Amino acid sequence: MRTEPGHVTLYRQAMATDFSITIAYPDHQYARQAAAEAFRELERLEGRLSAFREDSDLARIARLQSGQTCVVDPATHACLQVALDVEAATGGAFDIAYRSQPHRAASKRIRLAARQPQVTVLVGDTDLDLGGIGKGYALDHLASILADWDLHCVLLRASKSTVLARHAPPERAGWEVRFGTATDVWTLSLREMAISGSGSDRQGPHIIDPHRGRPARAHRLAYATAASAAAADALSTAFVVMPDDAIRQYCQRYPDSAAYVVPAGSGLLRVLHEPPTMEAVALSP
Amino acid sequence: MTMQRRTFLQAGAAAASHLLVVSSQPAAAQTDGGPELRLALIGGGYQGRNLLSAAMAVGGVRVQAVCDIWEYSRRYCRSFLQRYDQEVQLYEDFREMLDKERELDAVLVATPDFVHEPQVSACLEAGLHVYCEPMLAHTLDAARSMIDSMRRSGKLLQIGYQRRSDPRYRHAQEKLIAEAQLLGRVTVVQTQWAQEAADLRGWPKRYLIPDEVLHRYGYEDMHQFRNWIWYPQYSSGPYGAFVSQQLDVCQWFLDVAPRTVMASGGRDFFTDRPGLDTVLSVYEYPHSLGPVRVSCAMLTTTSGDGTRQFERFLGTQGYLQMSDNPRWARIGREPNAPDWDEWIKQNYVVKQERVAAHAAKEDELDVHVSGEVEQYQFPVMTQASGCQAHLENFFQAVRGREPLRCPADAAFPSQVAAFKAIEAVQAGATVTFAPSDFTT
Repeated sequence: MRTEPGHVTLYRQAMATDFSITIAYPDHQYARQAAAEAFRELERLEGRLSAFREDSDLARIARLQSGQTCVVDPATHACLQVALDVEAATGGAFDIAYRSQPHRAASKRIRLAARQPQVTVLVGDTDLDLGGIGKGYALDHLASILADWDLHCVLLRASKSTVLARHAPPERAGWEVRFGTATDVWTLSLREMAISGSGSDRQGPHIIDPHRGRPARAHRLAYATAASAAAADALSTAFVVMPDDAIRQYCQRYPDSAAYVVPAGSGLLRVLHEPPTMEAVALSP
Repeated sequence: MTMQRRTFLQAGAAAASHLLVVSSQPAAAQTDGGPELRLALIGGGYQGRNLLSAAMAVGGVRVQAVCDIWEYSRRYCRSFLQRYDQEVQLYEDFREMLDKERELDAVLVATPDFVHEPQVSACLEAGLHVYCEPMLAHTLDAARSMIDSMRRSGKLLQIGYQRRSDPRYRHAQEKLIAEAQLLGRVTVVQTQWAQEAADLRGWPKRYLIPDEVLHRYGYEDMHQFRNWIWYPQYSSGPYGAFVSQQLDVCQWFLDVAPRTVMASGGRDFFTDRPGLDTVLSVYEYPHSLGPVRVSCAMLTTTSGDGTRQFERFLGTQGYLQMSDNPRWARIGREPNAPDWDEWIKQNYVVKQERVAAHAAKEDELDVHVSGEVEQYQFPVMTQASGCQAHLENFFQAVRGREPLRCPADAAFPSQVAAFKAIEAVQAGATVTFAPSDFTT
C-alpha cells in the first residue's frame, strides 16, 4: 500500500500481473476496505478466466466437443462477448482463438447464448486466449465494485499496460497517464476512459496476427483508448496487427477511440486518431 | 513440475498423458437428470455467492428465494441470478421465507456459524434438505442439535467440507491410501492454512444496516456483522472455519479420531480482534498401525511461501501433498522404497519426468543423484471446482442417486477436534479427547 496526500494505492498480484487501485478519497481506511473487496472479486474472476486452472471456465470450454454447451460465470460470458465484438469491429485482427488449430476465428468456434451465460462450442479443440482482454475486463469489474462503495475518483492499472480512469481527482481535469516509448514519452489526461498498450517491447514479438498465424509486424507498439478497459486492451492488441489504414477506418466508425502507434523499426509514437475531447502531449523534446 | 496449461486445456491431452478427466459431462448436459430442484439460499455473502455460481454451473436447479439480512447481498444475488434467467423472491428473515416458500426441495446455508443451528434445524423440520457451510455451529451442543434434527426429520444435511467431493482427494484416499497403501506407514501429517495479513472488512456506506435490524438478528453492530469470524460469540474463529476442513481430511484419510491435542496460539498481530490470529497445534491420532502426529499451522498474517493451504501426509514409503489448489498437489516416493511401477501401470500415479541438467552422451555414464524423492503426479484432473463437485453430490443425493459424501455426523469429529485445540490454547495444556466427546 502507498499513501500520498489525498490518495491511497493498493496492489495485488493476479492473472500473472500486478494490479493496482488508486483511490482519491479522504477516508483511507474506507478506501482500503473497498479495494480489498474489489481484490477479493479479482481472485474469484481469476479462477473463472485463468488459463492455468483446470476448473476455470476457459479450461472447461477448451474440453468441450463440437456441439456441446457449458454454463459459465456471467463475468466470463461478458468478457467473451466483448472479445467477439472487438473481433467483429476489427475485421478479425483481434481473435481470442488465434492459436486454435485449424485456425477459425472465435466467432466461428463459439456461440454465446443471449438469455443465459452459456457457451456452445461449434468446433472442437477450441483453445481461447484471453491474454489480450482479460486484464482489461478485470479492471472494468473492479471499478464497478468500487462504484458500489461510491468511490468514483479512481485509477486502476493492470501491469503498466492497461489503465482505467473514472472520475478525475478533486480539482484536476483528469488522471495524468504517461505512455509511449523509452525515447518518446507522451502524456494524456484521462477521465472516464481507459488506455491500453500492446507490442513487442516487453515480451518480444508475442502478438500473433490471426490471419497469418505469425507474429504481427505492422507495429512495434500500439496504444488504444476506449470507454472500457476490456475494449482498450483488446483494441491495442488489434492495432499492433492492423495496418495504419485499417486502424484509421476503424476510428472513423468508432471516433471515440484514440489510436497511437509506433511503427516497426521506429522509436517514435505517431497519432493516427484522437477524438476532439482528447489530446496527448509529447513530453520529449 | 507445474502442470502445463495446454495439458488440461486440450481434451485430447488427457488420454495421451493418462489424465482422467473427472465429471467430464458439460454442465448443460447434466440437466437431463429429472425435474429441476427448487432451492433457496440463506446467506448471500462471499461463500453464498460461490454456492450460487456453483449451483448454476451444475445445472438442473432453480433458485426460488434468497434470504439475507443485508440488502447489498440480496441485490447482488438477485442480479446474479437474473443473468441465468432466474427470478427470485428476496427475504430478510429466514422464518418468513420458510412460511411463504412452500415449494422448495432444499436450502443452501452460508451464514455465520452462530445462526446455523436455528436456520438449519428449522429447514430440516420444514421437510427440506440442507447444504450447510462449515462449521456446523459455534458450539458443540448446537452442532449436536443439528444432527439430532437431521435424524428426526429424515432429511439430508450435507456439510460443505468440499474436499470430500474433490476427485483428486477421493483418488488419494480410495486408491493411494486405502487400497495401494502407497505411503507405507504414515507417521506425520503437516497441514497449513495461511493467508496474508488483511484489513478488517468494511461496507459500502449507503448499505449500512440499521442497528435495530442488526440487534434483531443477534449482531452488536455493522462492524461485527462484517467481521463475525473474529468474534467468539458468532464463530469459532479462523481456526474452526478453515483448519477444521483440513482436520476433516485427516479424519477421513486416517479413519480415526484424535486422542490428544496440544496447541499454542494468540492474538499475536491483530490486537484489534478478539479471535486468535495464529495457532500451531499438534494432535495425536491412534492409528491401528501406530500413532500419527498431525501438526496444523493456522496463519492469518502471511501467505507462507505462497503455498497457502496444504495437507501433507508423510509415510515411510512416500509422501502425499494435497491441496484444494491443484497446483500444490503432489506425490513423492521415498528414495529407498520399492518402485511404483505397478501403480504407474494401473494409472494410480503418473511419473513426473525429470529434466536433466544436460543430456548424457553415449560414452558418458548417466548417473542420477541418489537419495532424491521421486516425484509423481495425480492422474486425475477436475472439471469442476471442489464447491461445484460437492454441491453436485448433494443434488444427486437429494434425487436419491448417490449417498452424501459429508453428512453432518461424519463432519462432527473434525468439529470436536477444532474446538479442543482452541480449548488447549486457552488452557495452556494438552487436552485429551474422551470417547463421549465424539458422541452425537
